[in-house]
Amino acid sequence: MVMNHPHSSAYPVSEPVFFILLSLSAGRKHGYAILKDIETMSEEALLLSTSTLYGALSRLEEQGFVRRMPVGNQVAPGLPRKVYEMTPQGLELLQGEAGRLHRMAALARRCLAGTSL
Amino acid sequence: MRTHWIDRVYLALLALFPAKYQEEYGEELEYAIRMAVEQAQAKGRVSVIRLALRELRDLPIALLRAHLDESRGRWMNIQPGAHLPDGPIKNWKLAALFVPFLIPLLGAVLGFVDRLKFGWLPQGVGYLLFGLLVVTWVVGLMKGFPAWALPGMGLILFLFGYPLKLGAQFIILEAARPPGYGYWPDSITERLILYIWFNLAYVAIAALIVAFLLEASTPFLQRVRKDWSLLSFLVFGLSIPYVIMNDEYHRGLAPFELASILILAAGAAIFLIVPGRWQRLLALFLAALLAHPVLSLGIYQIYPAQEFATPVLSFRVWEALQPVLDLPALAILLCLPALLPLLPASFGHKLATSD
Repeated sequence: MVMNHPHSSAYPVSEPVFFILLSLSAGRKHGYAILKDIETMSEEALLLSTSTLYGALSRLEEQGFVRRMPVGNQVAPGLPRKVYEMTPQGLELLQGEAGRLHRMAALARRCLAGTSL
Repeated sequence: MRTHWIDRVYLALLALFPAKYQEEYGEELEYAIRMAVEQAQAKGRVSVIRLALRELRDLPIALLRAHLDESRGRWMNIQPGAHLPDGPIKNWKLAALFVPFLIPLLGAVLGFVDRLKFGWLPQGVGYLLFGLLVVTWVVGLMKGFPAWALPGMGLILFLFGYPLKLGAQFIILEAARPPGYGYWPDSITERLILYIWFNLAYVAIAALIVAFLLEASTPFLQRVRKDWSLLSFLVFGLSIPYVIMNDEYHRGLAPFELASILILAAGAAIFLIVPGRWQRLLALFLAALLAHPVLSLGIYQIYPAQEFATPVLSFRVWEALQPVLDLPALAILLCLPALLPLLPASFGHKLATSD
């Protein structure tokens, strides 16, 4: 049950946060790569501004759902030297939110079964 | 490489974010906006305009959130007394530090609501606070004047110093007045000149008592050798009784007393937060310099409504001057500890080694 989850106060997560975590579930990325990933995943339905993205990333980092780490010395010139990685807590949050959305969708499907929608 | 105007505007707007945020994310934000502009340019002018609108739309909220997060983080990280030699002051010690301010605060609040007749409750709270103050004195003496006990200990300084000051004042008056002259000179200017001597006597008496305390208490001496502003904090306690002293003579002074004691308490709170010794001294100095004139202003305002009021302006002015007459002495006493590093290393050494 989501309400008893350790991160229950974080639910429901906002759409940008959901997509950021979803993007990071595939591996570590730098900020702009997350931005592009979200554009692609959402089929351009969600276009985040850079300030929204970094605002969300800084809060997720502060809450411990995301970790920011240096790339190392082999970073190409002009590329950011830090990448973002989802923490186990972040994965837990994403799974919890996905489960919550799944249950809500199932409930909606049951309620709407037989309607013309 | 030629930069787009969105890049330039965005970089200029980036300066509006908190410094720490800029330091953390500035480089990444620059990179992200540069890439976003390049990609939008490849798609056409409409995409560039959409990008610019999207960024401008979200920027005010992002700025606000960044600044709120920053200030929340700053408040959450405040540890009162963290910069003092004994480290952060927590829980009941922090409460004990503010007890000397709470007692006159309670008195001032009761002055506001005296018609409501609360009965035993305010008296009970008053006795409880006074009991806590006595505990602060005892523990403070036993522990060698820790920072949390200093404003309360300053009241002890007042209890010893003030009668001595009154005695010195009497001697100066007796010495100064010519035969057949009244107890006080009639002119306010002459009275103020006398107060220069009274203030000097007050400084000398208080400085002697403090020197005795430093000589007698090695832990206290060690503390103030590490941070002289602690001694200013002790002296700051002297300013508290002045807020209460005028209460019984003046009806309607309570709002001004309340403002005055809140200013003093704010000075003490700022003292606990700011990192530098001179900043701490400035906090105490400004609080005292502001709190006493607030009382003077109050007395001047309410004077005509007093039973003893006379239409003579000089009487009103003299009455209003009372809370600030000792202020020069207090200001000097607050600043004197800054000279403590000049104190010879041998001071208190004998006692320190014999302990």
